[in-house]
Amino acid sequence: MKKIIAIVLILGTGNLAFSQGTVMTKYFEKFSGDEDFTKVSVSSKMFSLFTEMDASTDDQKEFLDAISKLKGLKAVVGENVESSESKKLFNSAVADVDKEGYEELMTITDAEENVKISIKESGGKISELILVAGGKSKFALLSLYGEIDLKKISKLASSMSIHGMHHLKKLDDDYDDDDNE
Amino acid sequence: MHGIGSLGLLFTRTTFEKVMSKTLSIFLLLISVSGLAQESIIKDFAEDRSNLKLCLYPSTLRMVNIKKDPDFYELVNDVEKLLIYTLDANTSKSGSFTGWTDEYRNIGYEEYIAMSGKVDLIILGKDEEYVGVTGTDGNVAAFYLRGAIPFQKIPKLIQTFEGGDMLTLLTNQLDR
Repeated sequence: MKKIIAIVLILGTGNLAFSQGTVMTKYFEKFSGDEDFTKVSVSSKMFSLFTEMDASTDDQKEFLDAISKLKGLKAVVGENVESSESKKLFNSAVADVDKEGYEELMTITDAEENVKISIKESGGKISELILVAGGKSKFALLSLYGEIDLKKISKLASSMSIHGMHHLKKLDDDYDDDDNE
Repeated sequence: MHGIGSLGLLFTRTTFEKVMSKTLSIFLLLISVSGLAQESIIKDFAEDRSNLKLCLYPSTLRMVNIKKDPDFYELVNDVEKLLIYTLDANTSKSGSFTGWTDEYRNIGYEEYIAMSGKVDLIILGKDEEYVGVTGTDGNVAAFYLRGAIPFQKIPKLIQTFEGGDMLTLLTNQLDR
C-alpha cells in the first residue's frame, strides 16, 4: 500500500512539474521558425546573477529581491500580427491557460488590448504567473515562475522592456487599492 | 598509521619535489588542454565561417578603451580572453549558426538566456567561461569569453553605448 501511495505521489509530482511549462512549450514550438515572433527564455542561472548585484536605492533593492526569487521567464511576443490572427491567438492561449488549471487573477479589456493574467498557486505561494495579451497587431504570452510576490511584481514590470510586462504594473495598483479599502 | 609513516620515510625531499613537480606539470597540462578543448568547439565552428576574428586579452581590452570609461575598465578588468567571430553571410543567413552551442551544453554549460526571432541571442556559461551567439538582420557574431564579468556593470555600460551588444560596443571602440 505504501509503495502504491509513493508511486502515485511521485507520478503526481512529475505531472505537476511537467504541466508548469506546457502552455509555453506549445507556443515556443508553434512559432519556433517564425521570425515575426520573438521567443525569450531567461534561466534561473541568469536571475541568480542579480543576487550578486549591489542595490543603492530602495527601488533597486525591491527589484533585486523580487528577481532573485524567480526561477525563470519565458515569453513569446509577436508584433505586426494581423488583427484577426492576434484575436485568434489570444483566445486560443487563454483557452490553453484555463485548461491547464491556472487561476484567473486579472482581466483587462480595452480598445487597444485584451489582457488576462493568471497564476498557479500551491500552499499559499504563487509558483507561476502567466500573462496573455492580444491587441490590434500584437500578441504576447509571458510566464514567470519561481517564488512570486505580487506586491513586488510591478518592479519587474518597470525594469524589463518585454512587450506585455507593463500590464503587470496594474497588479500593484490593484493591490494598493485593496490596501486602501 | 604505521604504513603511512613508513611510506613517508621512503620519500626523500628530492623525490617528493620530483613527484610534486611532475604532478604539477600534469595538472597544468590538463588545465590548459581542457581550456583548449572548450575553446576548440567555437574555433572548429567559426574559424572557417567568419569574415572577422577578434582575439582580445586584458592588455588589448584596456587599449580599446580610448575614452577611458571607468565602467568599461571594470567590466573587462578580470576578462582573461575574449574571442569574437563575425560570421560570414552564408552562415548568418543559413539559420544554422546556433547548433554548435549544443556541444557546450553537452559538456555542462548552462543556459543564461536564449532569444530567437528577429534578434537571436544565446548565452551559455560554466564557471568563469561564457560562450554565445548574437545576431540580427543577417549579421551574426559568436563569442567565447574566459574570466569574471561584473554583471552589475553591464546595464550601465549598455546605456552608455547606443546599440547594445558587446560587438557593437567593441567595434565602436575600435573605430575611434
